[in-house]
Amino acid sequence: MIPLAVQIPANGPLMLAAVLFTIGAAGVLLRRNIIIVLMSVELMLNAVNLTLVTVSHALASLDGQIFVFFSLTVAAAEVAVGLALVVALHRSLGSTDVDAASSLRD
Amino acid sequence: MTIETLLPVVLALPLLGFVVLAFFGRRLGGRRSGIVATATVGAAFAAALWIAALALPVMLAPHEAPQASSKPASDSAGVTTLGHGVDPASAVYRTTLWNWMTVAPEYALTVATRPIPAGQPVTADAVAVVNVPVARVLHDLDLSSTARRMFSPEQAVGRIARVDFYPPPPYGIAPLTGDRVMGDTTLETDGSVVPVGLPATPLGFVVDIALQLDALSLLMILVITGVGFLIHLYSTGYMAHDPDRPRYFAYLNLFVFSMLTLVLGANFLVLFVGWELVGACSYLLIGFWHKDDVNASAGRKAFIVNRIGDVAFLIAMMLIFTTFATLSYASIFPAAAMQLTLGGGAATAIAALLLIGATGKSAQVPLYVWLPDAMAGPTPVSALIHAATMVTAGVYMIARAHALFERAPAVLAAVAVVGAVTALGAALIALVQRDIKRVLAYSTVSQLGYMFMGVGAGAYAAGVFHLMTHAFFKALLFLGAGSLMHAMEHGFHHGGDEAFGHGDAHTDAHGDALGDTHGHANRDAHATASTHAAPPPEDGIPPEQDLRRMGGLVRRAPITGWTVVIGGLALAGVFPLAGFWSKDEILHAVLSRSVEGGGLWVVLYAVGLLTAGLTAFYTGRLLLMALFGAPRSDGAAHAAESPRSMTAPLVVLAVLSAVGGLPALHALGSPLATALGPVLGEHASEGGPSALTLAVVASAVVAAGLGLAWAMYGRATPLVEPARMTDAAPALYRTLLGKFYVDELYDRVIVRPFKWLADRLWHDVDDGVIDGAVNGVGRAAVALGQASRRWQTGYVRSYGLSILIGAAALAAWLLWLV
Repeated sequence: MIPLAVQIPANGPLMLAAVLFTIGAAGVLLRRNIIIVLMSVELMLNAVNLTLVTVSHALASLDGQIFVFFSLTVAAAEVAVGLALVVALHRSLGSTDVDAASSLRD
Repeated sequence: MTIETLLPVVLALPLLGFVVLAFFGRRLGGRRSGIVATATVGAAFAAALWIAALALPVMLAPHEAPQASSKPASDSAGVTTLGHGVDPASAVYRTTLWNWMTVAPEYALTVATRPIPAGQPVTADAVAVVNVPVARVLHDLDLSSTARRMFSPEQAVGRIARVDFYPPPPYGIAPLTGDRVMGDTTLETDGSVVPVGLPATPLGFVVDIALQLDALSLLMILVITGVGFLIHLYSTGYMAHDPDRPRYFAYLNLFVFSMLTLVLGANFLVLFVGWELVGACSYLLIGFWHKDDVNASAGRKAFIVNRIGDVAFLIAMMLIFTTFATLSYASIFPAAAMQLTLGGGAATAIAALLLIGATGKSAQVPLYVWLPDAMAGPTPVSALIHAATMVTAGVYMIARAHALFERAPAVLAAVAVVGAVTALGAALIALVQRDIKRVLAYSTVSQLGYMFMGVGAGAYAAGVFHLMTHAFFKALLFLGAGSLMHAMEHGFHHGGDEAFGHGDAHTDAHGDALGDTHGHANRDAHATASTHAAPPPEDGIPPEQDLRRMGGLVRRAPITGWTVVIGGLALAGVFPLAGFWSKDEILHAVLSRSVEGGGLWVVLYAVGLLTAGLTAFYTGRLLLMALFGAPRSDGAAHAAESPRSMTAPLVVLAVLSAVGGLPALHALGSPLATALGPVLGEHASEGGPSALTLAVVASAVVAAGLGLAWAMYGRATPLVEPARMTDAAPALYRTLLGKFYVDELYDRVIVRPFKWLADRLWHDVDDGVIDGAVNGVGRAAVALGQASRRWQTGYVRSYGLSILIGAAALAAWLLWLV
């Protein structure tokens, strides 16, 4: 017997996740404000979370959803650390421009 | 005490002395170091005498009449040794100290599982295969005792059926069959496992630290410890004022130990250990006064020239191992006739390489050049190492390995030719030398050449006999020369002031001068401190060694003088002193070889005879210039006799030089030949010339040489002016004075090209190629770093892009390729 969940089309959520991921990736690569970059990273992360949930639902397996809970928890911690880094960076460089933080090159 | 237990004692005593002196020498001080060293070597001599007392009755037991006496020397050693009708093993004592270097592959023995009647074919059900570690198979042919050790005693004897090897025998040794190994032993067991096969030679590399005593090594240890003891005693007097006596005596003891190792070893590797150690001791003692650069470089020269011979010896040893699969004398020599084809490539290569090794150690052409320079060491060292013992190692080795040399008759003839060339050349050089030690040094080279002629002619006992007598009279001459130098030095420092309490002043002057310098160097310091300065060296010869400054010393130092006269006459070969007998034996043996050897041996005999005349001449010249006539310098005029510790050994050695010929006297039953015969496989030569005629001829030549010396140097107004002789052939005289310019030749042909090559290797290869490669690797790493740092832009976005591209590539790979 085919599980019920398989019959629900997953195309919509997956396409949305792909769009979100692309927007996030473009944001990371193109924006220079570090806060925007950080937000874009979060966007990519959540796109992946969305994919996980969708596929989890489609396969009738709870694994993906449990994984998302962990992922959200880690993301929260990561945002806290990330924002702290942003504050520290702003203090030392006096700007939030990611290109300003290139002193390792020399 | 048995001989087997005494043998390690003889070795251990000098080693003990060395160890004590090496650790506590400084604390003991010079005088007590001398006592320790002399006592240990003296005790070793006592032990050697004890061994002799135990062994000689066996060795001198009458042999049955030789059955194969007329066999030529080229006959195989094994056959002729047995021809004496006495088991040569009866007077050989062996003791193994340590099983060393045992590489132990297992190999299979075929053994019987039930009684097999003697002589019957062995069926498959009657045998089993037993794996035995090779270490357990001893390298002797005594199968029954070996078997007893491997299996239980009552199963010991059995007939050999077959021997299988695992791993397969290297180097083409055919598996041995029963008849070859064991003969017709009958089986005497009750049917349990019985060994029936053992290979004659073990596989793998089995070398024990084992000692072997037979008549040859007994003679050698007696000479080494006896002469060594006398020289130690003499050294306590001669070196009395040297601050480095602990070091000196430590080296001297180490040398005695090394030489004993060399002659007592039961296999070639132990011999080689001793061989190398004596070389090292020689180096250490030649350069004993190393603050003088001349001495240090003489030491290096001796060591390097010796190394050339040593390398050849090492290769010979490897060849012996590949041929015989063992290095043990007991296995090699009986098997030589079987394993080596007469005059074949293997035999010739082994013998030729051994000969090169011997020429290095025994100072023969072309490697003799180190010995005259070795006189840079203290004079007792010259006496012990460079006259009496170490340089005879080559002669000993050839006599020991005569079974191998006899498989290569061409090399044996080469030994004699090398000896003859060396004997003549060195005697010619000795004619014109002015330094007393150099005359003696070249004389040593010449006499060693004689020994080589003897062993080359197959007369090993004669060569070894000359080795013994030469050890006596040459040690005497060197020690006497040292005593004369001591006397001269004294004379130079005390001038005409005999009433002056010279004993004290002597010591004081020595003490002051020796505070900060050594030996030769301090002689100069000495001289300047003294009111009567010694003259400066002429032609690089220190005044106290210069024959031209001696004269009349026999009146000033009578004991030294007269003992040196005895030694000199023994060297010249005057009847009835020791040198006469041994030289005569060698000349007789060489001429006897011409009966079947042809004209070569007649030429060699003529060379030997001529050398005898030259020897008599230069010996007479030395004695007359040094001891008789009017003093030719202040030093000679005021010389004084040396202390008793120095003259006592001279007297003993003089007695030995006088009577040393007795052991070989045929009238006394020739005990030396009786004892050495079974070891050396001698053959009584028949059909040769009469011994008496030859002795008369040789004596006439010697008398002529001595007469000429007397005519030139023996009178206040010489009958023949020496200058007339030199003017007659100035070119020859200069060539002789320049020692045939061999050192210069070697310098041009070998040393300088070698230095040039070393220089090129240093500057071009080491600095250029090797350092260049190392630096190049470093530079390449830097360049790589410079290139790759462009990747690191520092912009977060470019890293992010890299990650994205990488992730996309990974995803693509996962999706489409997997």
